[in-house]
Amino acid sequence: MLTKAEVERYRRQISIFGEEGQGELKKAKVFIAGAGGLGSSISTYLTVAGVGRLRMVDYDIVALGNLNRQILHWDSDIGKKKLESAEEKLRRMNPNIEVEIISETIDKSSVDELVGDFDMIVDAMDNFDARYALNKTALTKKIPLFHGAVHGFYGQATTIIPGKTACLRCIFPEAPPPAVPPVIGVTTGIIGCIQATEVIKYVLGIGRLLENRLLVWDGLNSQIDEVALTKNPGCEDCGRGAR
Amino acid sequence: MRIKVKFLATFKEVFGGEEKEIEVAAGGSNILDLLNLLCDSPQRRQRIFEHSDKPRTYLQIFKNRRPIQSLDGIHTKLEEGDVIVVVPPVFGG
Repeated sequence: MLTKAEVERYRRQISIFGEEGQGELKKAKVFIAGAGGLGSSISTYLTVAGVGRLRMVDYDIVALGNLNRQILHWDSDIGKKKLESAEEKLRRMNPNIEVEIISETIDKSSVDELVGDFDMIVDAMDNFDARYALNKTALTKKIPLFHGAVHGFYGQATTIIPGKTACLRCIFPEAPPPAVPPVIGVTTGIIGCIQATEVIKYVLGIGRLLENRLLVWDGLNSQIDEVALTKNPGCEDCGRGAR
Repeated sequence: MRIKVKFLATFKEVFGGEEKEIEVAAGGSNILDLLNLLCDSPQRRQRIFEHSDKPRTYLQIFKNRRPIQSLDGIHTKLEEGDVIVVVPPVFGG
């Protein structure tokens, strides 16, 4: 049930999908893994859209080198925990939504408990080991995983629906070696917004998701490429090879 | 036989961004042969190959929607009409 103020706040999007749709967004519980570049963009747009409950997990501290892209964190936040900085801004953006923060590392030993009973996982991580842990949890809990990643002016996104689409390991069987990639803020903005769009569409049951489609954004040429995907029957996470 | 190849993301800067139709030898050509054919400059070679004859194993090379690691890796045979997409690792966030 929406308050009068909520109806006014979301009026311009209620005209797209109705108060019932807005109510669905209000009921949604979204787990966002990471409060950095992607996490800033994803959480901002889910907050203003009225997603009712966000749980964000990150262990990091705001540093000067984050500020070219992690738009939830400002100069005055340097030295603070990223989650505290994020929570403060998101609550001020929209006091109607619940923002829960957990300052912890995401890895295969922690992720199941961290996700808990949330409806879906949004990948805002910066390494594939953590992404694979998110993938396993999504498969175990049978909840969607909205993948995103960036490199310079390039980025990618896909939506993983356990049992239906290729999982992250089907698509990327091997992790690249750890490194510090270049990133410009506009790319985390674009890819984060694509991920947030996927979340909203999924909650509302509208549009066409990036199921078995890897969207590859080329910001240098302002071009989108798409790679068609398929499940790997022998996948070690979701197929015959699963342990 | 003719196959289609496309390079994405940062690979476009070195290989070009348009899908190309390539002629490869029928009966026996594989992904490694294709990469050797396409890496016709030191710059291109450096982007794909870790050592002189071994492509970086974490490259995402898709043959008809399947990553080659789920097929026969770099020894995956090519067939007429195959669509090969090569994507560099993108993992930042």
